[in-house]
Amino acid sequence: MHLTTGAIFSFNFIINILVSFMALTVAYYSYRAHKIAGTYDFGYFSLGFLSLSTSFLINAFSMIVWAMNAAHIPGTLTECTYFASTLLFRFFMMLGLVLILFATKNLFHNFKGKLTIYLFMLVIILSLSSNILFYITSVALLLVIAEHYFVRTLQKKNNMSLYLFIAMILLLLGIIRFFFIIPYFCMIQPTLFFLSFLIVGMVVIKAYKH
Amino acid sequence: MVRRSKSDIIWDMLVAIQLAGGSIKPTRLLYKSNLSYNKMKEYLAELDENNLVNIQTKDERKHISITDKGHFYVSELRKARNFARTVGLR
Repeated sequence: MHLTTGAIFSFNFIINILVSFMALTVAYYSYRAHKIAGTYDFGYFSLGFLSLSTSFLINAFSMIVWAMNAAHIPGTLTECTYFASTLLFRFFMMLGLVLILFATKNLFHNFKGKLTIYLFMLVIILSLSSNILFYITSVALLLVIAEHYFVRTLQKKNNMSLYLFIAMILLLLGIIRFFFIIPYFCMIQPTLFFLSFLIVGMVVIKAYKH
Repeated sequence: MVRRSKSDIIWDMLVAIQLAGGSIKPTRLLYKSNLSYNKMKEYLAELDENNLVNIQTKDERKHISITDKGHFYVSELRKARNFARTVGLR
């Protein structure tokens, strides 16, 4: 089956919008929990997903810009817009992952945590400077988050933690795909992102409404 | 031992009142919520101020009862705690 570039970009655009909406839903429920309990971890978790939602929204926007032919011509406004949106996508993605990691690992509470924050801020700056460094850092962060849920699955014998672990692995696979760019598999990454956020969204809604 | 957060303490106090049938004596609440007298007074004043509990004096004895708003707050807090446990925030 032959897929046109337009079809691939349209598919990616729709999926990115859906993923952004699902991340926003998770952020909303976390914020509600934060408002009730007043615990900062909920707030950071909410901000993390809000940041991820923003990054996917920006990614969707960059799809439109990339679909324009002028994006490939250096020095044009569309090329600059595409470059800026890619940079913003990476920044918000990295920020979201760091916030989620810190919230789940309870790192905001102690001094050691503050030191780690500075370290991670440095990682963010580094990740923005290089494409490959961004993907390596994202993979490392996702591995730690996935490990957290895997340990919880074993300790608590909790199905929800298992689902979240699977979701993080799917997100990880989606990012790893970038190391092996094959044109025919352009649709795999957004699909993995979609499945991952669908699982997270369903778990969060079920947990809140239960 | 993990230090309890403010919401954990409020949860313990309100649930203790609920389990006692909606009304409890201060000494029993002190024992159930595992707080010092001064801390309990401080938290009770805050709960009373937010209309989550009602402090009444009957025959020179104080009784603390949970209000409808308090019941609603407990149910919302239960959701938030369940959410935290599920997403691995505690």
